[in-house]
Amino acid sequence: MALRLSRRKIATYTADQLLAGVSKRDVLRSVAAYLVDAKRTRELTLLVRDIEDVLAERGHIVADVASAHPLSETLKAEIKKLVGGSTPQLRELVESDLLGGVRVDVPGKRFDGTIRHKLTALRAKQL
Amino acid sequence: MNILTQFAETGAASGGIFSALGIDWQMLIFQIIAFVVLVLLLGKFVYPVLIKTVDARHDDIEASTKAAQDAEKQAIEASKNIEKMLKQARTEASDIVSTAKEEATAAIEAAEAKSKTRAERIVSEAHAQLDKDIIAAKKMLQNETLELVALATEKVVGKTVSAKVDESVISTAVREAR
Repeated sequence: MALRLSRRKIATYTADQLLAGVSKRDVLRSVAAYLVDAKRTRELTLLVRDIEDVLAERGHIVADVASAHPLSETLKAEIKKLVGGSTPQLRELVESDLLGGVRVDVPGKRFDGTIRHKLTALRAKQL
Repeated sequence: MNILTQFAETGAASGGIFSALGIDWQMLIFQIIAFVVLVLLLGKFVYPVLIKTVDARHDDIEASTKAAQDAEKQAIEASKNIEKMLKQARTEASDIVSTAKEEATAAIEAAEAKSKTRAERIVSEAHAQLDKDIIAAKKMLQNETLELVALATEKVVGKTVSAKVDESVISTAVREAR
């Protein structure tokens, strides 16, 4: 039976290992093994978010970028500037429902510049 | 008695004065005596009763007369009282009618004032309700307009926004976000 560690500690350990240049495969395998052994596989999604938070604290930001059309390299560069951090990474997602514009999710905050969001805001202004 | 006897003797002696007149002096004397006896008997037994009856009748009549006079007095007094009461009643009735008229006038004025106030309140409430309805209608119209605009925009944008236009939109949004 493995020692019970807090999710924050696991996330910090994982982020440190990744930033130290340890193979992603090895790091993730060891984390997965721990979760299985500790019967905490249900926390996987939360753990991933925590790891992203820790990476963001260290300047390695992973941003979820959603748009109605695939992004050009120019736009990606602009969005990376918007996200900030030393080595921002974008996780792209195309959603035609957004109609246009872009939505950027980074740990702790969201920027929604989609037309869908503007239309929703317009509807929300109803008296 | 002596006189009668003497008169009888004189008559007898004279030889028929009474006989000439057709008077039987013995019978006359007897009748006189009987009359006297009758008068005495009547005076003794009948007259007192009759006088008593007459007196009683007289007293009754006097009492009746007095009662009638008293009744007349009372009737006059009653008539005066009735007249006085009627006069007082007329005065009171007049006062009552006057008071009733004043009260009726006051009540009518109060009712008119109340009706006026109520009418004004109803009109005011109607105006307020009308204003509310207008505001609600405006809100509804605005909401429907917004909904229609959003819907129309959604339809139009969904068909017209190309990748190039979208790139421009995204670029603008990112620049504004900075």
